[in-house]
Amino acid sequence: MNRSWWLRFGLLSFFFVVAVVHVIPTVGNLNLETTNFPFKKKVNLGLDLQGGLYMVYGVDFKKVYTETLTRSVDGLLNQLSKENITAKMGNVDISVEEDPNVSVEFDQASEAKVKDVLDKQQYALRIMDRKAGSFTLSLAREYRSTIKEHTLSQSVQVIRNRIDEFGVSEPSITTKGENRVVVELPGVKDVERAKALVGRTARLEFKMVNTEAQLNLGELIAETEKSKGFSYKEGEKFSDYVGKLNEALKGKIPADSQVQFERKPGNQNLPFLLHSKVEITGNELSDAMVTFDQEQQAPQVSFQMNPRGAVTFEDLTRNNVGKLLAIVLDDVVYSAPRINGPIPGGSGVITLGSTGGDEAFKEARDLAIVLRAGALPARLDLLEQRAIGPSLGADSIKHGLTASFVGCTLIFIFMLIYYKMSGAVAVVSLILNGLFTLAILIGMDATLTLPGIAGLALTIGMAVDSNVIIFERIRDELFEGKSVSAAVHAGFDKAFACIFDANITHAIVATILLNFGTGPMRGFAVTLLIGIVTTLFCAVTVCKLFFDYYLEAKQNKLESLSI
Amino acid sequence: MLHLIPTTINYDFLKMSKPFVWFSTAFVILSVVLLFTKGLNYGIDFTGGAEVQVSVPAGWDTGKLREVLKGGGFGEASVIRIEDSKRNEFLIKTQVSDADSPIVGDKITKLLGSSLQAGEYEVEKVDVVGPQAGSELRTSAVVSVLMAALGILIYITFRFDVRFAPGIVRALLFDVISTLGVWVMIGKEFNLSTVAALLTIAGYSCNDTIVIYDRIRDFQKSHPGDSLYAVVNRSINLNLGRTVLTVLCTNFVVVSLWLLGGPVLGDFALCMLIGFCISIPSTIFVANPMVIYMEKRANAKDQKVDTSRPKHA
Repeated sequence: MNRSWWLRFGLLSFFFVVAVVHVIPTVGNLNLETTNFPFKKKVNLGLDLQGGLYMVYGVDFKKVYTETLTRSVDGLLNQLSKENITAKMGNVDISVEEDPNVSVEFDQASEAKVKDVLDKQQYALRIMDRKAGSFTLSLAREYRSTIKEHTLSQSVQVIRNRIDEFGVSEPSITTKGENRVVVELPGVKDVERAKALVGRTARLEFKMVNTEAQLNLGELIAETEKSKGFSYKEGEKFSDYVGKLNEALKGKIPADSQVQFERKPGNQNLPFLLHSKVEITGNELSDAMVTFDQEQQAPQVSFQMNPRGAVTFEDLTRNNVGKLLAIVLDDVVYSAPRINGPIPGGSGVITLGSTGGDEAFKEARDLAIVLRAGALPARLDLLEQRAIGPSLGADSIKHGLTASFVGCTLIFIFMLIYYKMSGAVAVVSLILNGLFTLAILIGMDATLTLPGIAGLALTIGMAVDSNVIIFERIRDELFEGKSVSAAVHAGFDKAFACIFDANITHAIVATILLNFGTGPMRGFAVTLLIGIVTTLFCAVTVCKLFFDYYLEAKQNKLESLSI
Repeated sequence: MLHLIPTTINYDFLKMSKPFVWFSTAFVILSVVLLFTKGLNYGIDFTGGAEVQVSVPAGWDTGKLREVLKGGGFGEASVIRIEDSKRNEFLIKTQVSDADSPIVGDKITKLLGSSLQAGEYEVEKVDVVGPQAGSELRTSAVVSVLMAALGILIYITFRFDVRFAPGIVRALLFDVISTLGVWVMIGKEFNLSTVAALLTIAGYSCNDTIVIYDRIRDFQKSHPGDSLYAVVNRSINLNLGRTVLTVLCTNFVVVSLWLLGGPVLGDFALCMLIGFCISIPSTIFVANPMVIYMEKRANAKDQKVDTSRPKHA
């Protein structure tokens, strides 16, 4: 044996040992906690195999943009008033998707001054349209994309915090495109709860109840619903209904106020007229926990504000003694207690109403979690959800493995019969191929899914092709009357370009599949891609190594080849 | 040496290709017509909707389950029993509104919970695709297929010259469209995994063609005197063993996956099986004559290469 052969043999042996080490914990199903085996990593099973929850959320930027716009324009008006210019903000126009605009009116004489302030100090705003004495403003493009990025990354962070408290091993929270958040929670059983935790905006707001207006809200709402012909229907988003109602009530209620409800069982919702101004938000909370309300015999959530929030809270309660303070969570009023006197220290409770028993405790615990983890910066809409139970996953593994095993065994038997000794070489090469693919999969921390198992079997099925191409070439060369050694060398030489070309098209397709569809299909693409690399490697090195050894051992005096 | 295909084989495949080209063209047209008339049976991945798989006690049948579902406002839902399963399993399919889509799984769980004890039933799978996500997935499916075709086309034009590229693309289109046609005929569901299967078929179809084209190139170099017609024919004949063996081996796996792989892998594998089988005749009878045709066109003015059928062949 020459040096080159030993070198190649050494390299292959090294790869083999490394691969076996990677695969042993998975195949032997070792307990990673207790085992003495030095390599402590198993293959990641996809959600479709181990069970779990996959969710795609769409981030609703519209509201974020609208709020940022009004805030920025508020800032502008403040600045202008410092310069003794009075300006007025009109209604926000949200007809253009993701680019709301608002008009600002001012004295025509001060136009230059307004423009100056806008240019120099309000980088967030851009002028869309200018008329005499009025500008139409919207958010600057770069600023909008900053908001977008920020909102997206913050959403991921908040969800991660919540999931961490919920306790899921190896969750994956990623962004997709520019407005999607993908959440993968392996092994989650209580799907409903997980969804409530992840998707809830959890925006806590303290607002004053408008008691000055003296309206009979119940009647007013009933009238409006009747005249406009809508009402809340089961299955509709409650927030959509409230939005529609407030739109319809415009002019009938004070401009700085809005109607929000306390939800009661059986659709007996209790309306409140609230001042739109948010006095304190959930951002000022430093902690939240479940406590027990002795009087109501029900769990409740106690919260503690940070020092800044506590000061604001104390001021607020001092200035509004006797009035009602509404605690609003995700645009739903939870309670609106009367302020009996200034409250120092900044702590309070949120009562949940009496859903009773175990459910109430769960709800309280989850509410505490989301309040601690913070609010999502925007509303998330659940667009796609795939949940798989553990028993179905186990079934899938069994099915996938059985089918793959049978398929591969058939190939091995066929190759042995058809190509005899050379077939045995091919079988060794195919087994090594499968081993390497699995080892790389584990080493790369890639995920094995059900289609991935199919991909692994398919890799073997297609890898045979490279062996077949080589063997058929060698047979052709033999047929043309070449010596065994010459035929083998020519066969390998000619086959390689062909094998390479043929596999590249698979690689192109697999790369595209990688960016398509859901997790399981990506698993398929990943295995195919890895399989292509190992196929190229095995066909050329493993088979060649055996043939070289055989030719050398027989001292090139071979009359025939078992092929 | 064991031979599936005798080494002495020397059929004039090109001669036989003419009727097949007509047949394949007719089949593609039929497939396209079917696609537009009968249409694909789109799954919830593309239409949006909910698919819930549940296992219930042995006594339950579709009627009983339907009744329970009706009580919860799922009167429209279709309920199908999943055959060849040890448990008593059903697949519930229903359309959902945007607002309902986050809670449809929970609703069905609650419905079952109200008439069964815990442990007697299991919600095994909940797939909910909102209308918006459905249309996005549809777009991404179309984009993926186009990108795959483009990627392959670019690669082939780089690696082979212009004479070869059209044959590969034509065989590829034939394979994918015909598979779709068969898919419509047998009324199977078209979903994300079908798209993945189609893309895999596209890769496989090219692979097959490329191997023969590679042979043709080799032969042209080693036998410069022979006519292209003879070279192509000889290449097909020599490669026949490989084509049959490879498809056979791949199909060992695919058929196993189809028959033993369970419901999810079953359809995925079946689609590939159809495509792989179609890819054999398409390579031999569609892709190869294209080479001759392109050569003829290229040499229409300048008759240097003899593309006519030699009399002795």
